[in-house]
Amino acid sequence: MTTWTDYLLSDSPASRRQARLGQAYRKWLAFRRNPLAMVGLCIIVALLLVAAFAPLIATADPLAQNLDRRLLPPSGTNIFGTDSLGRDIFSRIVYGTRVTLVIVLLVVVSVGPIGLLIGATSGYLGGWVDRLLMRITDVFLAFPRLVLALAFVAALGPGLENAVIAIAITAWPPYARVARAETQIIRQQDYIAAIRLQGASQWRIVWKHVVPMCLPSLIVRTTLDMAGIILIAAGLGFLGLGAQPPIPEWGAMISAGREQIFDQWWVATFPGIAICVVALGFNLLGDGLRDVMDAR
Amino acid sequence: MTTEPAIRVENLNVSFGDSHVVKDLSFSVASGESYGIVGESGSGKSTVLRVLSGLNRHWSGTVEIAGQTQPKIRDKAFYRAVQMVFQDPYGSLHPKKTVDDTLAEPLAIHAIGDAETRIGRAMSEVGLPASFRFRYPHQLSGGQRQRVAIARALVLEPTILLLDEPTSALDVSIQAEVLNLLQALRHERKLTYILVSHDLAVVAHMCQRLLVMQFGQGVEEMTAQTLAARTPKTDYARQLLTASEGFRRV
Repeated sequence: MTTWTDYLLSDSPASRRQARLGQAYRKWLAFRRNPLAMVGLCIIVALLLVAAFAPLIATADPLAQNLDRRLLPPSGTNIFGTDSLGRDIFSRIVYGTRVTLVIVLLVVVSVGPIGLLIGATSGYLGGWVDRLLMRITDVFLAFPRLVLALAFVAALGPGLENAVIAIAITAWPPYARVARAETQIIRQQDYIAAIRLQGASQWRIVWKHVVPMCLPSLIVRTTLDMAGIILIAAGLGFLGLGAQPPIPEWGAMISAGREQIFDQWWVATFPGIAICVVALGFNLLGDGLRDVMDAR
Repeated sequence: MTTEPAIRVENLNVSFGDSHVVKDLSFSVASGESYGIVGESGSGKSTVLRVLSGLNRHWSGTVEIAGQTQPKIRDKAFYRAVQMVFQDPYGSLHPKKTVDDTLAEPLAIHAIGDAETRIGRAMSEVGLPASFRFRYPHQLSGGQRQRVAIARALVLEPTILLLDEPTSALDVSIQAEVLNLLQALRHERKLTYILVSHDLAVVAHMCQRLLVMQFGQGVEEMTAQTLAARTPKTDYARQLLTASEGFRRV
């Protein structure tokens, strides 16, 4: 026990890997001191576990309809009640974590690198490249995200994949902006001048020296943004343009419960709580990460 | 030695927009010599260094390194011959790179093999213990950081080293250590130095000849003997000398 903490916290690491691990461990120690961030982390870990073990956790088939048991209030057999087609709401929420995670992961994987590449290139090269890329960014930023996403989905046709594409297309501009602002500060630094004096190519400078400095703030921003991404996905689902029935998507579930909202409150309430909790989890995690990673 | 000078600068002019920062500056530095440039802040001395290193591209005039006229955009061979040490060791090391990364990068750029031994040798030459190799800059003191910066400049085995106030950001007790290290390295490797400083004592200790600059112009070139004897020819150089000893007496 003590030997590996000694290994990680050593003042003079003996290898590249030990230095990296030690650095990560120090970050983890700082992160652990923030209780709210730990709550966020627990929520996200729980989300991952529920998604992974959904068949074990769900009490019924999320797609199985039973019109004899429609709109039943929460009880022992259906702990969150049943919806208008008699499907078990708890099981649908459990399977819905998979849909949510797929959306979040696809958006993050596509948006982060695009925003980073465009922002860092624009900020480092400056000149007409910067002007061109930033005007394109401004065009995307000028529209409200949900409205733009709506327009894209309307053009591409409703569906989960198209919703992801639409969200990704509308989500990258703020990342490019952040990366550009960071890059403009970083490129003035002496350590970038030093690497230029070693004869490094511009690509090498941007990728190996500028991008690592932009990463922490972008990771933080992505985590904070995930809440927004979930909400937009839910919004598209609610408007019928996201995941199509019978896929158990939380936004679409709220939408389906809209008609019964006064008489059968549970149909819309539980998916709403699920969205709320997951969004909160990502937000708390993002806040904690910011404290750890942005400390300069 | 009567061979061609290591560095020759003729009629160098630098302007940023309306301000004319360096005006018609000419000087030459012999191979193996240590040449000082002194002046108050804003006199254009650091700008001269940035032109020589290729960081500043808004200049006109002639710059020759080892007899070759230099274009505004330098090639890779230039960077192997000329390296620079920056003023602030807190800003000149990448905060997310270990000492090892910092020293390995120039070798990777120039596709030089044998990185292990070269890094080890560079570290021992600047007096850094091998146990510091995988530390991050924030785990090093100012003097140790400057040693890393010097090692980074030396790892490509240049013949000319440009020093931009290499000790002014350091503690007084560390300054002497770093200066002595630079002296020793120059003798060992027969390096040519250009040292920019506002500190006459540093220049007197390090350089054989020096140039006094004011408002972007070269005021007077003198030898270290002239500086030691305190017999400069121009008024401004005399003023600068008096100012530098101002707080010696109480």
